[in-house]
Parts: sequence; C-alpha cells; structure tokens
Amino acid sequence: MSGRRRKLANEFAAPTTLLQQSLARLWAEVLGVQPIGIHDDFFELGGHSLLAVELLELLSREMGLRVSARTLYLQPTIAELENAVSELYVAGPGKSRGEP
Amino acid sequence: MTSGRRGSRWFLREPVTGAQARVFCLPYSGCGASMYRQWPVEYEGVNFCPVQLPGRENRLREPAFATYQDLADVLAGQLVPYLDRPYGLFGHCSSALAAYETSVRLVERGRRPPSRLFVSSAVAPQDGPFGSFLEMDDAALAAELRSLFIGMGGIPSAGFIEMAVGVMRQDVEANRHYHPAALTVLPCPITMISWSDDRNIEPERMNGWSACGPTKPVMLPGDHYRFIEAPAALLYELVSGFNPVADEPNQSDKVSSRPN
Repeated sequence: MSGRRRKLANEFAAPTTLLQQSLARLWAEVLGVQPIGIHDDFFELGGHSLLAVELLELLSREMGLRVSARTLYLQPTIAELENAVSELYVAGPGKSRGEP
Repeated sequence: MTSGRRGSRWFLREPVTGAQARVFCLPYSGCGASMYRQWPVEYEGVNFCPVQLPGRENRLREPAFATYQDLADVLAGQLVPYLDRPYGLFGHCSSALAAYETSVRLVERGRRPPSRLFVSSAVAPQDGPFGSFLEMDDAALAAELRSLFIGMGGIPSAGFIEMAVGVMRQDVEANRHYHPAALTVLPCPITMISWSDDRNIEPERMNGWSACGPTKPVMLPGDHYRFIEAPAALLYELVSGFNPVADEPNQSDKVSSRPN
C-alpha cells in the first residue's frame, strides 16, 4: 500500500494482537499513512471528521464492529480503541465478530 | 494516558523550528484543529500552527472552555514556548474573539506581543454577540451541521451529528456570553479579513475592530467558508502581515516604484 510515512514524534509501537493489527490495517487504509503505531493519535496522523466517518463505516463492514464516533474520539489511539472495542465484544450479545 | 506521547496536546503537529514566523490558528465554532488540514505547514517562511482546543476531536474527553477569557488564560501560557520568533494569531468568526482575548492576555503578561492579529469574518468584541448560530436550538444546529458535512462530501451518522452538536453548543454558548468588561487596545496591527460573498458578516460589520488596535481592512474573494481551503490570496495576506511595509497601506509614497 502506498501512503505518507508516519511523521509523529511519539515512539513507534507496532501492533501485536490480532485485533490491533486489523485496526492498524484499516487506519492505514483510511489515513493513507504507514506504518501505524498503537499509541499514534488518529487526529495527529491527519484524521478528521470525514475520515472518522469513513473509518467507522469500514470497521462495521470489514470487522462487524459497530463503533460510535464518540468512542473513536474518546479513544483516538489503537491501544485505547482496542480496549473499548474488546468491551463491546463482551457486552455485545451474540454479535458476530467474523468477516462478512 | 497515551503512553509514549511527547509534545503539546495543543497542537496536532508541533510547530516547526526552522520558520521565520508563526501563525497560531484557532478552530472555528464546533471544529477542532483538523479543520486547517488544507493549510500548508509552512508558506514563505511562515509556519501555520492549528491550535487544538479541549473538548473536541482527540481532546473530546477534556472539558471545553466556557468563556474566551478562560481559554485565553490557559492558551496564553501554552503558547509561551513557541513565542521565540515573530508570531500572529488567526481566528475566523467566533474564534477571532478567542484569538483577540489570547493576544490581550499575552500582552498583559508582558510576553512578546503578537506581530499581528488576523481576524476573519468576525464582529469586534464590543459589537457582539452576533451570528445566526446564536438563535438556533440543537435541532437547527444539527440540521446546519448535517448540511455542512454533506457539503464536504461525508455521510454523517446520527451519533456523529449528536456529538458534533454537543461541541458546537459549547462554542455557541461561549460566544453568547462574551461581553468583555473593558476593551484592551492591542499594540499590534489587526488585519480585518472579509469575504466578498460572505452572507454572514458583511465587511462594514467588522469596522468595530478599529477600537482594538490599528486596523488594515482586506476583502478577499469567496464565501464564509472559503478560508478552509487556504486560498493563495489569504496566505499572501497572512505572510505579508509580517512585512512592515504591509502595515502602512496609506503611505504608499514610502514604497518606491509602485505601479499605477
């Protein structure tokens, strides 16, 4: 995938869990930035409201994850979002997490 | 909370060190720093630094400021490390008032004063509050935000609009409650930027800024939202704001070999 190189001052921390890796892949797709570290801030990477809506749509379509804009804005890094999303998994009764 | 983080939460990207001057850009009502994403990082040696405010985007978890004065109290301190070279502040519509208050605070505290304040599409502090958002209830704000968002090419969810209205409401209330007790005259010139097709603020509505400092009026082509695209004419005005010759539009005899 082509894209801008990550230009952030915080240290790069690679995704490790499967969920982090999936999230990072979608972030890279939406933001056009590579690589994405788990502590990188969505907005500092160039994210904005239009891209946020695009990302939420992608999370729903590709991962079956229904995440609200507020959840993303309150947890704007992959590490934080993973926590929030994991809780959604537990809370979501019988919600499929598989690929469509 | 965010591990590995460095740099100021007040900027999405740290101001660059090589620039000759900086312009700190305050976000428009209901928006965060990302609204300046179409602006260049640097143009003609001037570094444009969008300011991220609490209560929006990646700072949504922090409470927004209730008043421009409260914001200025804190922001003036946050800017201090970046005042090592000439700088200006830019605000559009209500954020012009926040930019003015911040300029006042920096001057009061004896910091390096701004070289220039740039106010775009905004009435002067003593002439407000003014604007169509003030009369809107949340449903009307939601409709406005939805059409703006669709105009930008997005399809907002209900949850997104609800969150955006919350941010917008705080900004509108800050505007409604802004009645500065006394006007401070700034030592720096103020560039008053109006827009030819702006139906929100006609150029003459901005004249009150002359009570806040020496002013230079400029009208640029475009509507109320044109500034978002960083048109070349706007960048030129901002950059030339750091050039002393630009301060004296009525003393063109000092400028040699001017055409016409």
